[in-house]
Amino acid sequence: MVEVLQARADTTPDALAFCFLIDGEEEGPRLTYAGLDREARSVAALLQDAVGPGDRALLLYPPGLEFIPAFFGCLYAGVVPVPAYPPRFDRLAQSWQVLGSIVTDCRPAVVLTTRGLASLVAGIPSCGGLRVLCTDGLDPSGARRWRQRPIDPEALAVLQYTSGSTAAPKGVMLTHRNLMHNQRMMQTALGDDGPGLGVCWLPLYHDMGLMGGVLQPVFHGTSCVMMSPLGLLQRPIRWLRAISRYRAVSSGGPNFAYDWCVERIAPEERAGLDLSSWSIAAVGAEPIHPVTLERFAAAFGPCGFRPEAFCPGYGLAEATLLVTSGPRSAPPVIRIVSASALEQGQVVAAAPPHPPPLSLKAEERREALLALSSYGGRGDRGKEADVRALVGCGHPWLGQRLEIVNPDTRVPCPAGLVGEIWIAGPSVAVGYWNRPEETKHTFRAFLSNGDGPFLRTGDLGFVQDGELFITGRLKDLIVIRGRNHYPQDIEQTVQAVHPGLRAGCGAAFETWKDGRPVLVIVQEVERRCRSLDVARLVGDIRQAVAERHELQVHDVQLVEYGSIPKTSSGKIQRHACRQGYEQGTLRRWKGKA
Amino acid sequence: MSRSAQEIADWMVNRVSALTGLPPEAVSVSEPLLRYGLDSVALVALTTDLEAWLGYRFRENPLEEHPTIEALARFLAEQKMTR
Repeated sequence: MVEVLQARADTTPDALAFCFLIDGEEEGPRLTYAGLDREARSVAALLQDAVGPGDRALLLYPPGLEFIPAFFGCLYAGVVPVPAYPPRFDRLAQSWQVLGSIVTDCRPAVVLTTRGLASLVAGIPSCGGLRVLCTDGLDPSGARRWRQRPIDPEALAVLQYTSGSTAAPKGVMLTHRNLMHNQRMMQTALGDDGPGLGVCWLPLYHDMGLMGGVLQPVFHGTSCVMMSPLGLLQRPIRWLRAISRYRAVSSGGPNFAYDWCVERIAPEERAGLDLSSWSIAAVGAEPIHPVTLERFAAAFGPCGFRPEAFCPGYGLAEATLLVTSGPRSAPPVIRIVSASALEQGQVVAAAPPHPPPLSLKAEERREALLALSSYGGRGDRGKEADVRALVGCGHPWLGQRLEIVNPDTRVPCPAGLVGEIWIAGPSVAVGYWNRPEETKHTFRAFLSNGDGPFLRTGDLGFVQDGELFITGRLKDLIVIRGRNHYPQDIEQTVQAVHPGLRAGCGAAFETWKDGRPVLVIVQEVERRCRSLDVARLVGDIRQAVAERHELQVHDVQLVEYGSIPKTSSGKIQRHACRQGYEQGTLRRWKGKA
Repeated sequence: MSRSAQEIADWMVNRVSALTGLPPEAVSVSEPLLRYGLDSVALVALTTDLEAWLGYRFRENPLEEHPTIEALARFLAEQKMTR
């Protein structure tokens, strides 16, 4: 990536690389390719004075462009950037805890940030004693002091913390080769026209924002208009206005962003939008719902949005970003299958075998799909409609291998069966930083015939006619709005709320409600506990989970002592808890008379 | 248009009820809003809707200083009068 950026700065120095929209609306700072290269050199020179090659640098940046030269500056200096969620003024304790676990894990030599955040960063307990460098407003003459060193493509380029519980954070180790291969894969999927002008509101410390919003434009020498995630949350119209105003070609986000637009943009606001330039609307990072795509296409079709612009994909940080996607301008593939067969791991087409064609009028098609799938979510479907609608996520590219494997026998599944998704290829990361056990388990998986190594994704799916469909997860990870949450962390938070809640005897899981993943807590009450103010306790639990995990609890069920399903070795069976919850068979706590 | 504290409180109760799925009578005006487990996305939605309904934008998030519906409504009603 270093050579790519330098080449851009040489051939198109004055071309716009990035610009930032203040409040998601007003055009703010800009970076040309020459400007970005110069700023990255300044950061690199600063780093070369302070730390050695291979050292880690924690990147704490507010929304804006400052992150970008800092990130490239690290690569220029041979220092490993560790992008992290910046501390929040309103939730310092929580920010500190998350940061603290990352700092303890990767032992950064330095923290890079802005002048605006520096005082806050210096006050973070876990960053005490760490050197803090501000990378904004550097003297440009410093750039000349940068000494370029050769880069080994197999060397560690980035540590990406996206998974792992707070107790055991996992830093995905990405090499320079990983980054380049994933960009080439996206390039192949995009075709000759490339991404064109992009709009990115995703946080840059998230894999989708970093690979799609920062690296992709540089790889192609295109421009990207940035805005803050909060800008989108406050007024999603800002996202679509930016696309309309700049005639953007590519922009994307998780499923929820598209729902957010449909829910929170009034019809009269839609009037001025022209979305006809938007030909790559990436959707990923969390389960994709056919109805979300339908609703969005129906709402914004009159603004020129085309359903074939949707580009559903599947990816994870352990594979850099992208694993599968469809080719550009192919409409999403939707399959309707039997929900009960799918629960048993079998793929059985449900009548009608195919969803209503996209050529149908949007409104009619949406109604037909709704009737068919009742939003396509488990736990939310009508008893009589045994169907689940799934969106295809395309196929692997550039020689990456994908196998659907029976996780118990480690034998590839025959067609028509659901299994765990295993991947091999140059985009698969090296492993987790300093975690040999987890690395071996996740990154060094071998088929029973010795074929491998593969990355075990922990996601379940099947392949039909070359198209990958995601059906669920083997692990209990909770993915809401593109962020991963470990149920163990949430359960601990819940159990700390009150001594009457039995430690190690609760389950946090996702279920579906109106086509959305929602969080449900099932928690045992101690036997000796005779009376509880249930309403108050539930309020305490909701508050604790919202404060510590930024998650909204949809429902809390207190259950009788010893009634949570567990394995013989005492592990919580969250899947069984979920089934019990959905079927209403849990033994609810009634208190003692 | 100026709104009374009562109007603001009623509006808030209805919005919190819609966001959480709780019946309006279960939303207490004297409990901190965090009690209802609203996450950051829901709180952003709530404040932007409130801004739109009141017809002006907040400089700072008033929920930080006034975490209950009662306190928030009183604060916002007084704000409007002194403007």
